[in-house]
Amino acid sequence: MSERNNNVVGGLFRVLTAGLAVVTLAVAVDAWVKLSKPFDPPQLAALSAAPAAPARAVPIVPDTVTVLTYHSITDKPRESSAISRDTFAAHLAALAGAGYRSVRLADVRAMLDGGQVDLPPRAVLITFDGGSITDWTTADPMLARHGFTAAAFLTTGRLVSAGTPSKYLSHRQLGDLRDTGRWEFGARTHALDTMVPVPGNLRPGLSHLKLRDGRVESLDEWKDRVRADLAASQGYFRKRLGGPAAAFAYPFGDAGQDDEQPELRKALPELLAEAGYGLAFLGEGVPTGHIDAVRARSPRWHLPRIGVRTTLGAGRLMELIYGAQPVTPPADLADLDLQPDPTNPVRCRRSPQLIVLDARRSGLCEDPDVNTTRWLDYTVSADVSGTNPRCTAVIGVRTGTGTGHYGRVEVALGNARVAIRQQILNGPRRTLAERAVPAGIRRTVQVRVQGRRAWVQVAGGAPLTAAVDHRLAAGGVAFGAETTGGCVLSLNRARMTGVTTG
Amino acid sequence: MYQRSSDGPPTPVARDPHPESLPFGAPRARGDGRPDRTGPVAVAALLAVGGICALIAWHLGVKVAYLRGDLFAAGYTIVVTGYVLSRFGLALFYRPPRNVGLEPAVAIVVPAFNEGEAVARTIHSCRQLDYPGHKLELVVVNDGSSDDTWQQMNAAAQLYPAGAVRCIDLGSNQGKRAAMAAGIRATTAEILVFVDSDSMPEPDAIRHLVQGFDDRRVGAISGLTFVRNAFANTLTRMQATRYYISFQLLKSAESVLGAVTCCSGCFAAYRREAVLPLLEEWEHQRFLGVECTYGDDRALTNRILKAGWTAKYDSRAKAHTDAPEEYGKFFRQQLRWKKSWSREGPLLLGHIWRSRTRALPAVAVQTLAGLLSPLVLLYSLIQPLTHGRFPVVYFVGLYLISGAYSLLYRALRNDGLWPYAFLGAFFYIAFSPQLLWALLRIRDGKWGTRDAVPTSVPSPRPASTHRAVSHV
Repeated sequence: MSERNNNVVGGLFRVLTAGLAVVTLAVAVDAWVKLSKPFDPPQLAALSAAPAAPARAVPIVPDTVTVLTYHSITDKPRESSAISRDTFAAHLAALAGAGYRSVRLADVRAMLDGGQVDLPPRAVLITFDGGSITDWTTADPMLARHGFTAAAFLTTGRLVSAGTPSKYLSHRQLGDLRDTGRWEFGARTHALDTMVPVPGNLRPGLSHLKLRDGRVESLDEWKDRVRADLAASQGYFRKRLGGPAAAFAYPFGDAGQDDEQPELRKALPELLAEAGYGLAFLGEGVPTGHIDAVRARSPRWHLPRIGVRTTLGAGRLMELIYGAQPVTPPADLADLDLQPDPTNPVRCRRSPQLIVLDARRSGLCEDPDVNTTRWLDYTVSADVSGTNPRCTAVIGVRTGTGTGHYGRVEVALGNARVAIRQQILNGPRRTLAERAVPAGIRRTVQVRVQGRRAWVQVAGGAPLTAAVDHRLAAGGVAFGAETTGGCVLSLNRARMTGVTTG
Repeated sequence: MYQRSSDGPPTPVARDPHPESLPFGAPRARGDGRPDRTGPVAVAALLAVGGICALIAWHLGVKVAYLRGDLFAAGYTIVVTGYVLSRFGLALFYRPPRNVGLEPAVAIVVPAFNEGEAVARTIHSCRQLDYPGHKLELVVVNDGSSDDTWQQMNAAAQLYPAGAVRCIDLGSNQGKRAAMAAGIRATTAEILVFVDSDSMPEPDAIRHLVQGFDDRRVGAISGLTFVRNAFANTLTRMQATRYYISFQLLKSAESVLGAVTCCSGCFAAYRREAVLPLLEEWEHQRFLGVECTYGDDRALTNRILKAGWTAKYDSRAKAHTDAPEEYGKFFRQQLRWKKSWSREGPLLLGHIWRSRTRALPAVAVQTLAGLLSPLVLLYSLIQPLTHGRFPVVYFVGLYLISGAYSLLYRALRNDGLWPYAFLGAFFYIAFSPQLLWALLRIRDGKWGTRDAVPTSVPSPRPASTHRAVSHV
């Protein structure tokens, strides 16, 4: 009996041991499979979209490159910077349909360096920021379908070894992308693509002095930090791609433009140049004003890009691209699509050779879609009628919105006086010069801007000149009225002559 | 005195009814009357071994395809797991030498030092072997024992016809190699079989062991040694499984390549023609300026291989030996083995590329990775402190390989010891840093166990019960 009991106990013990062994082995096998399984998502088949007919033809502006900033392309966008495959397909179809061809970073650099570059008539540079894995899985096949090339700005510290689960590219995928011949690479720092604590806030780490142990770091500490990061990034490119990168993109599009710390904004290009970079791009979000296409005169350390976000459809993208083209002015200014300033409605009516402004309150009309960044020096002339003691005509020059525009120069033509004024950003309107002029129902006015000089002459009067702020160097025209009780002004034969474009 | 623990199955030695059975074939009978056949558990265990091997191979493939992490660590993993897998793969092709009815003259050489009456037991068991008496010579060499070994030897020899057991006295303690060499010189038999004084061959062991010499290129053959006192305690249980896996997996794999790197001193046969030219050099081997005392078996096999002979393993030639039952003795034995391994490993690597090229990759990995393994273990253990992460892959990998060993043991032997194969794998790994100490003390020729007065010497048994003696 006891032997039998022993047998039962022994049997139970054996079953328990075996069970334990089987269970622990199963756990080990499961862990092993999870640890070993390589993360290697395949490339997705390219989606394509039927090209939508462009709302209006984008003007051909030779020797300019429109630059777009994408981040990740995914059908389940979690971040506002990600766009869906459908949207991306529509973008590419629209670009291709509008006759856009992609150019290389090297072309942009050569153009900035003043070299002769043979660019296509409609040139686009498609960039991807951050080094998302979707550059490889999703974007690349779609680019290939349309024959586009692209530049990826990598946050090099985030790239992983092949097979490692990550939302960023692996070193191997980077090599694969390079081997397609479609891709070029730039840096978006090594590890400074993050927000850092500054007093009372979080700000982009590259362009701000951060809090260290409760105190703000010194300028030298910041420089050392940035230098080390840029060197690490270039080290990565030397190791993985055989040479340093030439192009840089500011994380969060922040190069210190907000001027919170102007010394950083000034020092950053020096540090970039020191690390071996030759050009740097801004532009993260969808722009509100004009973003200029890049041309030879563009600031090489602050090159503008059109940011693309989840909600940006192909139609709106093409509008933005339209607005990015720095066109030359029309001879007849009545050809401009003059629109009232939304805050101060003025009704602007146009017919050939004639612009009529019906103002109940003060306001301006201008063409918001025309990119006027290349309009430097010019003369605007018009026959102005309808001014009276309660109604002053305003001719704005070197005006515009978006990058490169800081305000405007205005000529105010009253019943018996003329004045030159300027407005910088949202600052107050300052009168620079003023004089009396002969009164009249219909007067020919000539306004000229040349360099930093503004000049105005009303027929029959002496010319008036003033020096304007150096930032007001380029821009388009605007027409408006200043009135207390409402008035109607007409501008006949308004034209622009003697134009110097940049 | 070997002990049989209560939970061990009563397994009297059964003469293997299937002499041609493979190490991976049918598990041995439990000896409790059930027929010797492959049970479903054994098949499942074997399939699981295959599964684990496939998983490890897959991991290896992923490693090669992705080369993640730093190249050194990835390289180490690839090389070492590749080596382990190759052991399983090669052992699959192992077949013991065919029985061709060879019956050459055999001399069994037993060196003895302070063995007391144990030497008589060895003499009796050697005379009980199933081999024609006129072709079997037994040479017992007394290496200057300070006890009554010499008297015991002579008394035992008296029981047999004159000349059947030859006793040689060296007069002074000259070391195991000198004793073995004296034994070899005293005989003219074609085949020399070395049996340790604490080992005991099964009756048919010699008959099996000599068959491999039918191949003229074979210079040495190792038998399969079981641990006789396996059930004495946890330590011997772990050693028993370790012995068995080493023989059936590692020696099988090496035998397929024709280069068994160590024909174990417990029970191995050599061709006289192969040994004689090396005898002097082997007997007086010097390393780093001191005469070598330990590692006689590995050193001899090494030289046989160097001379161009092949070395095989015969899983049907079985012997039983005593394993240390105390941890102190075990550690001293391990230290001795590690010393001889770290001396003979590089020496083997120095000639294997020309003497047995096909074994070069395995020998190279075994030697280099073996020397690195304690460092890798220590590195893995300090990684949580230095890198802030636990090397999960390393330890899960160890766990799986230990599991494969254990399952293999269960598939081949149903004696309830398989969990000890698992435990033992970790136990031995935990002891791998001892290698560093062994390297430091490599010139120290102290024997450790032999200097001490032998303890727990198994008592002789009546010859009549020999056939019913358990081997586990």
